Amino acid sequence: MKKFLNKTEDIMQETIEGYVLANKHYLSLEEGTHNITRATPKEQGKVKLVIGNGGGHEPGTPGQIGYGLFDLVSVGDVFAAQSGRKLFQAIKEFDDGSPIMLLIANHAGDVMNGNLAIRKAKAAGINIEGVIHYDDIMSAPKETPEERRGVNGIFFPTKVVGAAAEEGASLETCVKLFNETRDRTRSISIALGGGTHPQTGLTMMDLPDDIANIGAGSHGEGGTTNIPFTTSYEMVSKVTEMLLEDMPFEEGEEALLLVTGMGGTTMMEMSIAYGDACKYLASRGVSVYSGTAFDLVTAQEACGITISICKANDEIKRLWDAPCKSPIYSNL
Amino acid sequence: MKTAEIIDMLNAVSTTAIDAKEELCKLDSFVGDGDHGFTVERGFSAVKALLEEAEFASPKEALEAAGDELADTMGGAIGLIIGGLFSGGAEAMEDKDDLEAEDIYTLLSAGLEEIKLIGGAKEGDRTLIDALSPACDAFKAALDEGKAVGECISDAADAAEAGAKATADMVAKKGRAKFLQEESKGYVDAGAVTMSKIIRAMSDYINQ
Repeated sequence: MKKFLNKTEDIMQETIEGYVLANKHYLSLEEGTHNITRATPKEQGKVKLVIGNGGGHEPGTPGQIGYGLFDLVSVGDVFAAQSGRKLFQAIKEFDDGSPIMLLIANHAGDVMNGNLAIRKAKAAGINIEGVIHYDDIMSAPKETPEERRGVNGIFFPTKVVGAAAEEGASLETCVKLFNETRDRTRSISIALGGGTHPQTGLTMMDLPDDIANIGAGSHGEGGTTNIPFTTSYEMVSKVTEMLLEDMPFEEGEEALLLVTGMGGTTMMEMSIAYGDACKYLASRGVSVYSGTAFDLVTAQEACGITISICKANDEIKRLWDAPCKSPIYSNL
Repeated sequence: MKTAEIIDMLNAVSTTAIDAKEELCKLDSFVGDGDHGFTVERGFSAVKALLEEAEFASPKEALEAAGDELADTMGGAIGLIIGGLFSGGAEAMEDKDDLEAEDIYTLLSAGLEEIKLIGGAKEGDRTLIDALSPACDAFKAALDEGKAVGECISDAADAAEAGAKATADMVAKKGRAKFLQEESKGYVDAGAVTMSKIIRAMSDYINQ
């Protein structure tokens, strides 16, 4: 393994400290912790968006801290959800009486620790509600969507609720909006190769050169289907077709589109794949209202993309267009 | 067992867990992301440091603190679950100076209940419950036969190892491995192996 690392046990602290230093215009770090907040806090009284999750996925959620998006991210260790007690401590120290919405991506560790943090926060009199995101169509059948893994499509409800929170929406409205947007979101991944685990030095998924994997998790823990890799357009249309099968669009309904990289896929490839997804959706009568392509939840130099679509309505479009400003995404 | 012995036992368990790092990573790499051994090392190294620094008034206090430290430093589902054995088990225990066989049984069985409550898994779901649950049964059976604590925990360790081995024939229902379904068959569950090593280390300490 040849990576810019120092001591294995310092990886996460050094990652967090360095990332905050490199984005000091946006981010602030409570020294000695993994708790990252906005450099310029949101006004007191407005709903604050909080998440606790594993590290090693940079830019991940720390990259989404800022105006119109997250207020506090408490990061765990490499690929391990933040502990519930530490997340609670982070929330307690952050709490200024504003309503808090804790976002949880549906992974066993995030859910267990997130629920623990909510229980403790409520017992401490903090005004907090949790929401759970799930969108990965390959991880469970459509009849049991709540069993599905929560992956990169979480950016849609996060953006929508983040905008509503800046406008002063109530916690109840934010929860409702989150759930509505999540229920209109679907994701699927295509992996081309695994990354190297920065602690073990081992490759997290082995794939032959001519094979693509559909549905692998964000740690490359193996997915469900291996298919021969042909071209970007063929791969992208195949999985986008699966998204549309899972969530059919009526004529005239528009999509928000995200193409997110796993760390080792270039912006050139993501751009081509984004264009391909637009082209395929158009061929199916679905026009893309807006969207973006960027590295989101990476797993080191893993190659591949996740495609996420959200069936937009007028409210979702308005809130998607509302201003936001963060290390990885700004639309001001 | 008095507080000092419980601390020694926790140290012995920690050493065993840390030494198993590479084996656990390898087992996890078949169905997971291959870092289970690192996570276990991180947690139990922190426990060792805690045992060195802090003072504990009773066995219960030491066990609870070790469980919380594991949950805090390992993170993820596994931290809460392995930590839950000690903190959940200790919570149900009487706060006395000298633990007897019955108290060790309470630690294991209440720990098992805590883990089920936290993770929502049950026997047969291919988790560490499949090591801990037969261990509890074996401990109880030995206890009911009037065996001494050393024999009880030794029977429990045998049952935990057999249980961990049997996970190779199970399909994962929980954790990241569940997304592999049938593909998880044929490999033992890394968490179940960790649990069996913890119980074996307790047995080795008590029987030394």
